[in-house]
This record gives sequence, C-alpha cells and structure tokens, in this order.
Amino acid sequence: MIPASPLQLQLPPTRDGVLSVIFQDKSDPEEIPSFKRAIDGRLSSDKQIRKVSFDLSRIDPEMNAAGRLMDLACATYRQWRLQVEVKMPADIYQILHEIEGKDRVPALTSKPPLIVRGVTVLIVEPLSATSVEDEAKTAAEVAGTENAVTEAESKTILCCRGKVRAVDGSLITVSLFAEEEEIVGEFDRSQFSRPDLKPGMVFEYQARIKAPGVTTVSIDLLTPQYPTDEEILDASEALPVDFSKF
Amino acid sequence: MHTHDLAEQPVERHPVILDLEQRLTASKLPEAASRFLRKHILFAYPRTLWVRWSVNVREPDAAEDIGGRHNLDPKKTGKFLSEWLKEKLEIKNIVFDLTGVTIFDSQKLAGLFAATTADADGAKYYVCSGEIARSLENMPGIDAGAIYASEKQMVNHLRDVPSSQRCVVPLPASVDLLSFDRALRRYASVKKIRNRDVVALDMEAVTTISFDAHCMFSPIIHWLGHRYGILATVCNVSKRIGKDIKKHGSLRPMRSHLIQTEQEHLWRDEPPISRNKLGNAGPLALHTFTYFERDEIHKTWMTRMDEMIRYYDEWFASVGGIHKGLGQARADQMVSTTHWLRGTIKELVDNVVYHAGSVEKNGKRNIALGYIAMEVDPLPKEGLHIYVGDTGMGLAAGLARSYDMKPPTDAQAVAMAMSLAEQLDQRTQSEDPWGGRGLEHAGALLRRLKGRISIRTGGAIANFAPEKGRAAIKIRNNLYYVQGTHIHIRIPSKWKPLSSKRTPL
Repeated sequence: MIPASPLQLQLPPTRDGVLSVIFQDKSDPEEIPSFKRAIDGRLSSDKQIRKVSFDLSRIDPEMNAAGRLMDLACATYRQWRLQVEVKMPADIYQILHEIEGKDRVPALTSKPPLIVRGVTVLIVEPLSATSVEDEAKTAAEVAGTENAVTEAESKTILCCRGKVRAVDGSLITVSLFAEEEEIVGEFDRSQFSRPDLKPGMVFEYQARIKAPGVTTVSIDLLTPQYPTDEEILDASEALPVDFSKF
Repeated sequence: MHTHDLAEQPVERHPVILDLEQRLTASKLPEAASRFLRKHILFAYPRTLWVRWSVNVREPDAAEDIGGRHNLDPKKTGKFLSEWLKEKLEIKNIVFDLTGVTIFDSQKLAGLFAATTADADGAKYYVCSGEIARSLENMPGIDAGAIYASEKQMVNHLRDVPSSQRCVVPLPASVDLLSFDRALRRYASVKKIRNRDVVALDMEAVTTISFDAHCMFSPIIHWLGHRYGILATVCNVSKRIGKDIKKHGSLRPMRSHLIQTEQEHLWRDEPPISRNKLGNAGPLALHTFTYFERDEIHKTWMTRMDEMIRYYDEWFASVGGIHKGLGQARADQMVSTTHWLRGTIKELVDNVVYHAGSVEKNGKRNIALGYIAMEVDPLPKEGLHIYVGDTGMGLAAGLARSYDMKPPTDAQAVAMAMSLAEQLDQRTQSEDPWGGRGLEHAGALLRRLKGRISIRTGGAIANFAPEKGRAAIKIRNNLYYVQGTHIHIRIPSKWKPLSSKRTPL
C-alpha cells in the first residue's frame, strides 16, 4: 500500500450545523473511499448536521483529484440528502467543465448558483500558503499546541536592485540589475508602495516563493536619487532566477 | 504478470506458462502431483521450460512438496508435459534442474526424462553435479553434453543463441514510430518470429532515431519476451547511434533480455555522474516504475522537469505565451504553464499506476510495468517530448472493465480515449467508480499548451490535437501489436527558424 500523504483531509468541529470538509495538499485517488468513510462516519454520528461544505481551495493545483472529490460531494448529497456545497478555485472548476461538458458541469459564466448534480459550487480564490500558515498558527495558538503549525518554506528566488525607466499611466517600465545584467520589464503601478513614481527612482525587487505555486513580489522604493547603472550593478548581489520553484 | 522480470534466471508465473494452472486443473494427475508441478515448473529465456526438482526443506510446506514429488507417476507426468508443450511453440527446450536434490530415485527420473519430449528444434538438458551427474551420464538416452553443473552455466548456454535462431529486423535510416512499426510488421511477423529465440534489431542503416521510437524499444522487447518467450539483441550499431541509445536509456530497462550486445549501449548515467553543459536538464532517460514506486517516480520526473524549466526558461516562457518581463502577472503565467505541464504528466503516470494493472476479485493487484521518458529539444519543429507508457492490460481491456460497454476493439478504444467523460454515467461501480477523467484531464491541459498527443494500444494508434477538439485527427489500425498503452506527447516549439538567407555586404 502506498502511504497516504499527511494532511489530505481535515474535519474540524461542526459549526452551526455545517460540517466543513477541508482538503489540502495532494489528494491520493486511492484515498477517496476512506475520505467517504470518514465523512459518512461523521454524518451518521451527528444528526445536527444540516449542511456539508467541501473546501477544495487549498488542494495542490498539480497533485489533486478534483474530479473524484466532486464525485464524492455528489455521492454525499445523493446518500444523505443534505445541502452540499463545494468551494473550489476557478481554474480547477474550468478544467472540470471542459472535461465533462456543460450538461454535467455548467460553464463558469453561467448564471449563479453553479449546480453540479445537486451540489452547489462556489468559486473561491485558491488559498495562499500565507493564509494557510496564518490559519495554522492561529489554530495552534487556540489549541495551545506547537504541532499544528505548518511550516511553510519561504525562499527568495530573485533579489536585486531596480530602476524606474519610464512611467506611462499605470504601466511602469523598469530595469532590474541581476547577475551583472540588466533586465528590462514592465510592472503595474499598483505594485509600488507610492504613487509618485518618476523615471530614475531606484528600488529593491524581491521575488519569494511562499509555497509551491505561490510567488510573491515585493518592491521597496529605496531612493529618489539617480545613481548610474554601473553603480547599481556594482552594488548588486543578485540571486539567480530559479524558475524551477515556480 | 507484466512486471519486469529478470531474464537471466528462471522465472515463476511467466505469461508463456500461465495456462499451466488451467491445464493441471483439467488433467487427471493426482492433486499432490499437480500441486508439486504448479510450484516447480518455471520458465527460462529463451523458450525453455525449467523443472526444478529440489524441495526447499526450510519452507513450511516442504513435507507436502516432498509428498507431491513422490506421488509423481513418471509416465503420466511426462505425457502431460509432452502434450502441453506440443501445442506450445513458445517452448522448445526442457531443463530438469536437479540442483540440491538429496534423494535420487534414478528409476523414476529416467522414466520421466524418457516420457517427456522436447520440440524437434529444441533439446533436453540437466542441471546437476557430483554423484548425480555421474549417475545421469550412465543412464540410457542421456547425452553427457546436455549436463550442466550449475544454473548459471545452463542459463549461459541457453542464452548463447546461434545466428540462425535470430529473427533479424533491419531498421530504416530514419527510425520513427511508423517506420519502426513497418519494419516490425515486415520482418517480425508472428509467422517469422515464433520459432526464433532472439529478435535482432539491425541498425546498420540507421542514421537517426526519433525520441518516440527510442521510447518504444524496451516496451516492445518486453512484450516480445512475454508473448514469445524470446530474448533480444541489437547489432551493427554505429558509434553515434550507440551514444544516442545510451543517452536516452532506450534499452536499459530491458538489459537482462539483451544478449550479444555491447553493454556500452545500455549504460546510462542516471543520475548523471558527470554534469555536461545541460547540467541535469538533459533527457530523462527511459525509467520504469510500478504501483509501489508512485512517489519515487513522481519525484524523479518532477526534479528533472524543474531542471529543464530552469535551463530552458525562455523556451518554456515562449510556449506559455509569456512575454518578457518580471511583473507579478508574468510570474503567475509561468506558474500556470508549469502547473499544466506537471498536471498532465502526473495524470498520465497515475493512470499507469492505478489502471494499467488489474485488481482481482480477491483484491490481489496485478502489477503493470510503467515507463516514462522526457526530453526538451528547443529547436523549431521540435519541442518538449514526453512518453508515458505501460505493458499492462491495454486501453481496450481497461475500458471493458471500467464501463458498462461492449468490449471495444483497439481502434475504438483509442478513438474514444479523449472523450471518455461522455461515458462517465456508464462507469461500473465495482471498478474504481470515482475515476474516468484522467486522459481528458491531460487533454484539457494540453489544449492550453497547444500540445499533441498520440495514444497507442495493442495494434492501433490515434493522434489528437486537443485544441482542435476531442476527436482524433488520425487513427491508424493494424499496427504491430504491442502490449499495454503508450502515450506520446509533444509540446511544439513556438520559435521560428532563423532566416538562412544571406544578404551581401
């Protein structure tokens, strides 16, 4: 038997008659029958439950079995005749729609609510690792245990100086100075902390991986002074771009 | 049994002898004798039945085993074996392995040896040494030259196949899936191969081998070994082609099936011993995996894919339609592209892990052998090549088990491979009721990457361009039969060739 990945499924205490079924990380297709047994166990032992909410917002976008989890939600609805909802990110839903067709899975653009075989689907943002981490920390504080803290690896993949080259409405053309090279790119004005951007301003650019598939970019304006490009290059201690971690 | 068995020793439950069970049940042999034969009849490459006479006294059922052996009627047993083998072209030799025998009933054995006949083009051999060997030499009808002192010596003799027993398949100059197939159909037809001991791939004319063809060498050798009980070899390999074979690890998974082959062709530095200019971003040589190695194989290909993305970042960015720049939106696009790619491969590998083998009613899992290989060739018209295959039950048999449908032919099975979601309501409840979207999931992701996918099972292959629809754009039938399901993917380069036009100064 292949060992199951840890933390594939969480069943927190029922709140206001709602049983939340939280899937996270990778989902092993062979584990679906055991997920069903666990859910059925809770439903048969707690008659106060009036709604089941399947939360797929934290599943690994690559290593997931979303179709099977959707089937599981539908089977729960058929068997228990309770209100069942599934929260899932739009991209995962869109692929299910493409696979199964509009008759089984309505298009994302359909008039809400999206109903799949009696189950209501709510489109949610994929939960970032930061919020997973924060929630886990909060849970740990509440529970008073250290074990509940999920260690989220955070790694810097690029850290270098940059310079604003041109400002055109919300489009900001910049140069990044990494590994003794100048890389020209475009940012959106909203990515900067202050609106009064001018060509020549220097900033520190940092791209960090918070979790697999979750990359954050931070831009800290350093100075409105205008050092020469050579000076910036000389001062840069850039880390190379590591796309493999994306 | 579809797993990779070592071909350099006798093999239990080889597909060639799997009907023994049925034969014994239908035979009139006493139950104790049948039980002994069931356990002690093995297969050895090429085309050899191996009867292991000794009993391991440390095994819990040793007493039963010895009882079964005593109950063997030499004439009836010999007749049973001879009749069974008469119809079985996959076996021509018989080896009586007397290694470790401590009780030697010469009369009984002489009767058995005399009553059991090998094929006209085969022979009877004996493995023993010391006193037993001397006794055998004095038995009437036994050739002293047919006695070998050890299992290793015997196997070495069997594997020393003369040229006349080779089924030679001359390969064309440019070997791709279809030209390889044509050569096999022409030179290794059932009629031509079934009374040979070795299939010899003659590479004298070969100048190029496509990635897809590289990936099919081992599965085909594996299948021929299981179907006909034969070994394989490659001959007349040029230095350049040998290097290419080595680089792709094309023959390595089946190295124990190969004879008279330069080991240099088989060797592949996995993981690389010396880093070349590509670092670890070179081809992922052909790897095998089974149900029990799911985590390891995912880790292996994902690590290599990461290396490829890092080295060929611009190529991957161009495939994902990502323009130059470093904004958050672009980083997210890159994330999507790599998710789609990883999701596709993961889905195909899991398909092999969970569906290529079968699960019997008693829950016993028959393990299929899976294969995976990848390569990035960033040149125009090339691209990222991915192969995921298996020598399992095949798509048609898999569909017949999982859906309430008339068993499809190979051509029908490949034709519906990318539209199986239409059949989800027909999925049987007993055989994994939760599945059925794997190939379509891969198709949906490939649509985003504008990839091409070919699905081969048995004697049919279908080509798909998912962004153009779910229907196959081409189906070929009556190809050379190959066990299992074989999926070839190509994500084409978007780079256009640079102009070769020269302008005068």
